[in-house]
Amino acid sequence: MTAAVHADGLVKRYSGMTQDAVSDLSFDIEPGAVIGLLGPNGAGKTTLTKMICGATVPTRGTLEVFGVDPAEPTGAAKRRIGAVHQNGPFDMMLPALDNLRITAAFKGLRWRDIRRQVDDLLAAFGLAGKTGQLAFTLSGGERRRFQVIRALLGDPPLLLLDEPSAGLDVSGRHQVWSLLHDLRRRQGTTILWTSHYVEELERNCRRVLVINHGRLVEFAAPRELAERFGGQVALVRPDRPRDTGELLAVLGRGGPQLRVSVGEGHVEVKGQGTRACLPALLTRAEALGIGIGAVEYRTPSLEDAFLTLVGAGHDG
Amino acid sequence: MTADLAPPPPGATAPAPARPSPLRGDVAATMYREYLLLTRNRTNLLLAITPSAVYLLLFATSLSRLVGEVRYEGRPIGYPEFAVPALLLSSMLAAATTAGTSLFQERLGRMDVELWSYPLRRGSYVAGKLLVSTLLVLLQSLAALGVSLLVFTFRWPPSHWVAVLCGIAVASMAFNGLYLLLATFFQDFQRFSVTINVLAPTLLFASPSFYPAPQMAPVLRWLSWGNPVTYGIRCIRDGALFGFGAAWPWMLVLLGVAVVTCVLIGRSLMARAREI
Repeated sequence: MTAAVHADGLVKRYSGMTQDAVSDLSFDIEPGAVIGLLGPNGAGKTTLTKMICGATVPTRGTLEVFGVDPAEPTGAAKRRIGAVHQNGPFDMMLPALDNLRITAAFKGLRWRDIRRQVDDLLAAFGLAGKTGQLAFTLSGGERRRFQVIRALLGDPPLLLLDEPSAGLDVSGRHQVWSLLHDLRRRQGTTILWTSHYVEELERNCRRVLVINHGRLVEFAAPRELAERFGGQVALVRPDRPRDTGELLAVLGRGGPQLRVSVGEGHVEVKGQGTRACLPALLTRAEALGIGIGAVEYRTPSLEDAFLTLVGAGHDG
Repeated sequence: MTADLAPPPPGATAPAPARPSPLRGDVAATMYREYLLLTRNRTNLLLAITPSAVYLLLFATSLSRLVGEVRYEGRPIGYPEFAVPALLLSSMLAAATTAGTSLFQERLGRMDVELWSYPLRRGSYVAGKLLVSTLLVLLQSLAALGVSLLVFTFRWPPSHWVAVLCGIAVASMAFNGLYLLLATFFQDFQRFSVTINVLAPTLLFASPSFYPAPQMAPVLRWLSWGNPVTYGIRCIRDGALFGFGAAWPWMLVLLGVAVVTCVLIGRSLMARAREI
């Protein structure tokens, strides 16, 4: 069966650079799947997205979209891709509607054939009254929603979404999520979804592709990643809230495998050795006169796993 | 790492849409986009029409009456007949400014990644861009000529008219090419905007547009030798007054400028597309 996206030994090095932006990436994305793409800034996510949509050509390796090279000059693969790019590109001095018309023209779609789809999408996103506005006068969130509409024109079977929720408020994010789920259900659209909101990927994606320094780190279901790499999380509450600072100091001496932080009246301990190390640390705390009120073990999240996989100090 | 492939959901493996022919496909789409970019921006249009309108009013009223006749190549001619090439060149430069600004704005809007995500071939993009922007410059120059004909009377033989029209076409290609090339050099919009808007009047006044070359100040006369507007003015003026025989050397120079600039723009746009 043909994969929606097939990458084998994919490498991209920009001219004048000494390091690969993407290095030896190999993966397959099955048709109809919603796949998250996660990595710290500069990990190569945008480069990978640009290669898949055919905007930039790999330096080495094989890349196919539904069995076709996306950079192939007839545009056979590109006709099956809708992309929302990170930097929100628009012809800023043109009205939003003209921007949509231009996309339709490039995709070889007749405006009168897609007019109904455009009207429905505009209504769904609450943008029906904004089509005459010049693109540069739209807010960031409005432009992002117009971008999503633009990517959906012609119902492409593969959607590449690079930060589709950036700049959107909570209701805007939910609008996008529900629309994408609806698309997947009705049309079996394959979605590659990049986001800095880790919980967004955890909630919406079947599997997550984690990359760092251009290399594949893991490709698995969010739950599996959380369980394998999220470590253990414990919330420790002192008897007296004023002891929280002292408790933090004691638990902080648990070694480099533990990450500790202060929450509302509690100390959060994360890391692979939490369950093993915690009893001894709590005994030490009690010996110092810090009463322990409660210890609560929590299910790790994808964010915990991400921090373990790429190292703390990065944003996702 | 390879994932197991699940059965295909409906629609996910549907065949790709048929590829439209180039003339209905990416070339037509590029031309459509260029048309919108060049004509929907009212500010650019207003800026493009204003200088020519001011010059036309000046020629039609006080300046014509004040100057009366001018001697050009030993022949006395009316001032409107002498100055109408300047009006056409002013219109041409204003339209070329619009085209250059539009190219720069495309880069500001970071449209390159979006464009290359479409089924668009690099050659179609460059061809569509050059074709439509040249057409805009040509049409605006012809419009200026049409308005001049409403205001003034020129008694040129038909062969001279053909020479004038050919001169306008070649000059449109050359100046559009020069301004687009200029737009590819700049990175900073403010510098680009100041340069491109100051350039048109500077080029016009440093050429024998409003006054014969012998009456120009020495510095301006030297500058005029390297000024492409001088060749545009001479091409149209000599074509109107003396026909093809006198205009062809200027046409050749302009054609050379057009070819060289088109090649350089094409290479620059292609290189930029590869850098994404």
